[in-house]
Amino acid sequence: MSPVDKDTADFGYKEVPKDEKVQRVAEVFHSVAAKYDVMNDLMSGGIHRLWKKLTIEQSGARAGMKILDIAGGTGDLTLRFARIVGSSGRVTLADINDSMLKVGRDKLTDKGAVANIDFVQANAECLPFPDNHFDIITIAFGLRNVTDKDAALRSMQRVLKPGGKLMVLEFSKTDNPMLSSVYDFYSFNILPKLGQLIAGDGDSYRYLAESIRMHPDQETLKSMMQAADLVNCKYQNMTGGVVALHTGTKP
Amino acid sequence: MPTTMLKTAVVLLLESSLNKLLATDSVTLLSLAKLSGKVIEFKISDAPIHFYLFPHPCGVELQQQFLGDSDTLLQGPLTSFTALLSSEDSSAQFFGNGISISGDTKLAAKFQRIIAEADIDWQGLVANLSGDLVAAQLAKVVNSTRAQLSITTESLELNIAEYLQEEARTLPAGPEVEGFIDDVDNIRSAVDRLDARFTLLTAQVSTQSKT
Repeated sequence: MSPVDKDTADFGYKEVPKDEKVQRVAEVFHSVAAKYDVMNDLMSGGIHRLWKKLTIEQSGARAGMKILDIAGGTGDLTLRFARIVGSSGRVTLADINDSMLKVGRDKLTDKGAVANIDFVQANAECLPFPDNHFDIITIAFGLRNVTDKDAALRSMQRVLKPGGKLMVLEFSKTDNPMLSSVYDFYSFNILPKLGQLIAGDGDSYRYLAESIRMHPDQETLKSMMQAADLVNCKYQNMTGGVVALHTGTKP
Repeated sequence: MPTTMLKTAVVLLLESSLNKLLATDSVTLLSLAKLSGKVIEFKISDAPIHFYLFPHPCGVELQQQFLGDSDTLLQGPLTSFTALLSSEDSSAQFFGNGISISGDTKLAAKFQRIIAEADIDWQGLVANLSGDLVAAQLAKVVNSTRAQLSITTESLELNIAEYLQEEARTLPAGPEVEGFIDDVDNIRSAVDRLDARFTLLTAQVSTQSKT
């Protein structure tokens, strides 16, 4: 059976029915939404800000563009994009999880970013936008939680304008054995304890660590993007491959 | 890649420090909002500093790379840019003085006005960037220099006074002047008393001649 045809999806290291994955991922993010930003800073030592900033810089975003930030969560990328595209542009923050969307909306409102931002609760596999609509689409630390990643990539390709750019920022595989062992120890021993301590939910953070290991590696994701009819697909490793930024263009 | 990450970290730090400062200056924020959507590129010719500035209503966004074309490019040596920030009268120090402008010159002129009029504590920016310890040390140096300067000024004043009074004999010393003023006061009192006595005697003489 090919991965496209199977009825189950991975939920961390477990195999669960596809419908159940959606629900269980939703539970994870409902649980961590309020403490999401604090945990991100703590887990990555603040480095997630650098990864996101580099993504923005390489997006080529400028005034007047239409940008979609999928799985935008608490709006880190949306805020910066909204400031760059200005009043003539538009940024859409989409997230499947309403708790995350609410936290993101409140945070952006507090920062005075409201005029050129739309908030949409949407599933990345079937995006509710017209064809050829966005100049740039980003999905940062979101793709691994999507049940059918191929469908999501095809859906993103559909709503991109020809010449538009898809950027996938996601945890990936390190090629340095030493870094890998340190990273594994951190992910499975320290991270869940931090999650328990700060967000009161160790299981959710154990899932995050497992889902990172189950996510396709750099080359696999690149070929998945090519299979979704994107061209000029390439990736750039950050922090020794802990995170990779994949980009592809709609022909 | 590590260099890029490091540069990004510096850009992020500079950007958040600048925005913290700008948050306290609503007039400048209003001016920046009018330039929203524009891209200003800075290239320092004698240092590896090259970045793009995106003004927006809440401050500025800084980027070390930008895939499009900037609206205006400001290029010049580091000293010209630092002179611009440290000068009291920024407009006097700005463009045309070592900093070359290409692209939208009107945008450059508007940006020049914002910098000139901004009520921004650039030293505070240094404190934010360097941390409290370095800033405290810097403040100590500045304060002790200031104290030393005031001692020097005072001693210079004393020396000049002494030279004029004792060496050149152009001016009298303080006690001499005081003594002279006392003498003048005494004479004035004596004259007043004499005047009063004279008035009294005149009155007595006129009374006796009537009787």
